[in-house]
Amino acid sequence: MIGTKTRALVALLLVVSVLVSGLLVAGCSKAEKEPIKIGVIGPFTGPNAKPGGRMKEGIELAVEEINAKGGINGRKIVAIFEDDASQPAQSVAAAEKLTTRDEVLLVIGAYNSACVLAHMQVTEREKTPQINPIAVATAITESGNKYMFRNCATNPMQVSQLADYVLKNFNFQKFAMLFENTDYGRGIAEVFGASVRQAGKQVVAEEAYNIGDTDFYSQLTKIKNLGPDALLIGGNLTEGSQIARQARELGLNVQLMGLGGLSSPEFDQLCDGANEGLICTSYFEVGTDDPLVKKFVEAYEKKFGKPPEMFAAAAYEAVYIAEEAIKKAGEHKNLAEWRQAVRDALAKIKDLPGVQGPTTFDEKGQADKKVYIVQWKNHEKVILYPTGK
Amino acid sequence: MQNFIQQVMNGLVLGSVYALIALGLTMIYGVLGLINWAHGEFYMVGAFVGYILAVRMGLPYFVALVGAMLIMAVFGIVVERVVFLPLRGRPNMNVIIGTLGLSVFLLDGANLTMGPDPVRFPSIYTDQFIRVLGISFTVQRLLVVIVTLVLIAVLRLFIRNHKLGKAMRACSQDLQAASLMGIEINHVAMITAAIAASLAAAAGTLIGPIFLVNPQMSIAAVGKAFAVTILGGLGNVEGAVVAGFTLGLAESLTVAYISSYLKEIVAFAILITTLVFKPEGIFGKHSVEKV
Amino acid sequence: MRLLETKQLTIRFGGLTAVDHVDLVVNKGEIVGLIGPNGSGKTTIFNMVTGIYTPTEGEILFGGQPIHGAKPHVITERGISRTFQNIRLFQSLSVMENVLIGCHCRMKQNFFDDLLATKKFLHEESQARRTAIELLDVFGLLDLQHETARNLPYGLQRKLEIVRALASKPELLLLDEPAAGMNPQESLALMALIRQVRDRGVTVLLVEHDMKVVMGICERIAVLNYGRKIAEGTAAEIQSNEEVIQAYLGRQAKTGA
Ligand SMILES: Nc1ncnc2c1ncn2[C@@H]1O[C@H](COP(=O)(O)OP(=O)(O)O)[C@@H](O)[C@H]1O
Ligand SMILES: [Mg+2]
Repeated sequence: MIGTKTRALVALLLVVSVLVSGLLVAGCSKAEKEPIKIGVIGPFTGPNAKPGGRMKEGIELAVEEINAKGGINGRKIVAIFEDDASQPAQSVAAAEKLTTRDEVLLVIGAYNSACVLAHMQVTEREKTPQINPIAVATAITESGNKYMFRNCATNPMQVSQLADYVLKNFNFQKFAMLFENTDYGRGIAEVFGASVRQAGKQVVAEEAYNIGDTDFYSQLTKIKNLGPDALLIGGNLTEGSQIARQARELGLNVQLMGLGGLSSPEFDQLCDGANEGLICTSYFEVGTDDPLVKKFVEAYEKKFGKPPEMFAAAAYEAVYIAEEAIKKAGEHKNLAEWRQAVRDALAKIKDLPGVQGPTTFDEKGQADKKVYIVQWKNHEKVILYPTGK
Repeated sequence: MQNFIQQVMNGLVLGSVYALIALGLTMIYGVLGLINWAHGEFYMVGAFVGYILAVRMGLPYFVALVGAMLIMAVFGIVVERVVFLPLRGRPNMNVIIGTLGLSVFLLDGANLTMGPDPVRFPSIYTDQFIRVLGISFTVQRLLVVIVTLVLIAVLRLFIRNHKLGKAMRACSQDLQAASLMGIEINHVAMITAAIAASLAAAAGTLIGPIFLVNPQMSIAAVGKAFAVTILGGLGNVEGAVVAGFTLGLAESLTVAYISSYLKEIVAFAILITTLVFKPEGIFGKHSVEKV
Repeated sequence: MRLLETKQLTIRFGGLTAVDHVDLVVNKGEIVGLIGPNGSGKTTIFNMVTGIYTPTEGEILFGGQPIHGAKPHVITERGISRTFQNIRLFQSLSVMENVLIGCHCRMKQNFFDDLLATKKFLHEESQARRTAIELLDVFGLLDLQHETARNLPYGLQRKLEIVRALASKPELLLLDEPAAGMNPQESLALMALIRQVRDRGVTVLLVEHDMKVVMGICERIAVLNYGRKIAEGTAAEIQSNEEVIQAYLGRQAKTGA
């Protein structure tokens, strides 16, 4: 047991030392230039804490690399992380704090579309540029917000890319779709179905399921009877893996297709081989020859001891896009002017290389991104597009 | 026709799970007079126990099934002593808060110990297929239906003929009169909780290999189980079985012949219609024996 | 010999003293009546004796041993059994099953014998069934053994409740208004039945409103009013007791009952 007096003394010493060191740090940084503050909003706790953590790691790595090179225009950069726990209200509070109290130059975030849709009004009001690396709702860049930029493909973009690829490279006549009964799933079915019909092919089945469903035999039995050549799974990995397995059990031997979530190793694990031959889109692949990707994968593995995945890559890339814009924008005394200059520089970015491919923003702030198209073969992904990389 | 048979088989699998979960829920209500909001978690914990025995410890599947049922029987007794007993005869609000608290405790406990991500629970029967008359299913699915029917038959025999089964029926009708007839209410309460938890474990262990096992599986399950329980008449064992299979078949045939968009709606439409026209459930409490 | 004895038995519900320092003695082999206007505390005394309520004050001795505060099933095992003012049969069970459940507490194998249906268990089961058949036979219900309890006519339901109570082989039987709702013939049959029960060696404590029944079969009668015992004696003594007459008249004037 430590006596109360001793404890009080220790506490006092602690307080004093913190104050002193604070003064020292402040004194030192006065000598250099003040660092550039970048705000990051993401789900660092709650149901999406895992991908949120990857996102944070990607940002930490990029910041470290940039500072090691001497920062931007002679200034170091610091990332200030604010947790939104996937809650829109908390996300708004995070944006308020970062833009008004911390006075960050730029915001990166977040993970959930609902959160971005909620807090983007704050960054817009504060005229603070924002790069959104992950949230894919189309409305985010369709709302006319001049300060919002997105460096990943939206759902319709990846869905139509997948549809174009499949329609061009296979001679399938009849398509079936099984998708989750949400905006996300229905959006996928809409875009994919439109592409198929436009190509003069048939959609023979459009079946829905609810998130959390476990049994898809009824839908798959019905689909099997309609005799399609290919089946699009419009959902996430938990349900997607069950659909793949149950399709195999029912003897529904058709080409399976899916979107981003089905390219993850967890999906492969849950499928138990039922994903063999499945074609899906992917935002990020470690196995390419792109030197930029190779360098990133190496550095990430060194720092975190595991290979990076899409969320880390997207966030990492966002920091480099920010770096480019801040560099181009130059020095400004007034924060509002500086933010405006960064926004304008972002809008002008053209063919900036990144780990997810080159970035060029359109007038809505949406980057013209291509996704990978991959195929599962023996628990590994084979990259079908782009070829020759 | 082929399609119809396949869809009926699909419906029977769903119905088996609904029936097994709802049976425990309805028995606990019938005998202990409380609605167990944590029953979905009984099913989930049971599935994880089966998973640990079969996958992590490598026991043969049937050993794991029986093991999970026994372990969960003990779990049920502990829950009865620690949670249900203090809630007995308390106002409804206390019961709701008490069992909801248990539900949150078990869900978070599972999230902490097993992690939130789904895990696969392979059994040798998931890789064996039966393909007859153009219909197709795994042996595991057949097992679900068969084991469920066997368990229901054994339960029925027990409740009808065994001294403790009779005591359960007596308690479900008049707890006080039963205790005045010399029935040790505590024994009956414990055995009821044990059977309910062990049926939930059977459901979890049977279904685990077909689907995935994760803490969230409790949430979807409990909604359906409540629908089935109310449909069959609260406390009505035979009603729960019939309602479970009815719902499973209704869902499967709705997808087949109407639309998959309506699958969930059908379940709850049946439920609401029943509540409006026959609030005591399809079978009520009086036309068929309660527990 | 004193079989049941209450000493200063008292229970309060909030401000209401439902039973107020009652001393009552029932000797072995007697038929004792307990009467009093509605709400005077008769059923409450039964509830305390059978362990449903715990007395606020006082003692209950059964065979000289204190039993107040014990659990109902323990008291049943000790040898006290009862019927209810409003019939509480297990309505959806058969006549036979109702009686078998009454036999429960005389089956003394342990929990695991029960569960695993051991030889011992099966032996006791068949013995219980024999007891049940014998009882149903004696009281003329054997032909109805497979009938569901709720399908019996009212009079037979009352009878079945008594038979069920006897199945636990009690020394003392508490009957709470068994003649309620019976016509005069049924009441006469009931009186014969109660005598028959006593002749099997079972002591009876009877709560009853039907004065013909009470006066006809009770050797001793105790009278309650507002929770207090106001009189005790033979039928003749009670009938001429001023305070008793006053109690009944006073209430009748007020409630019209
Ligand atoms: N559990 C209880 N809570 C409150 N009051 C009760 C309770 N049980 C009985 N009483 C009251 O005790 C009094 C005696 O009731 P009771 O014993 O049923 O009378 P009776 O002589 O008609 O059988 C009544 O006033 C009744 O309202
Ligand atoms: Mg009374």
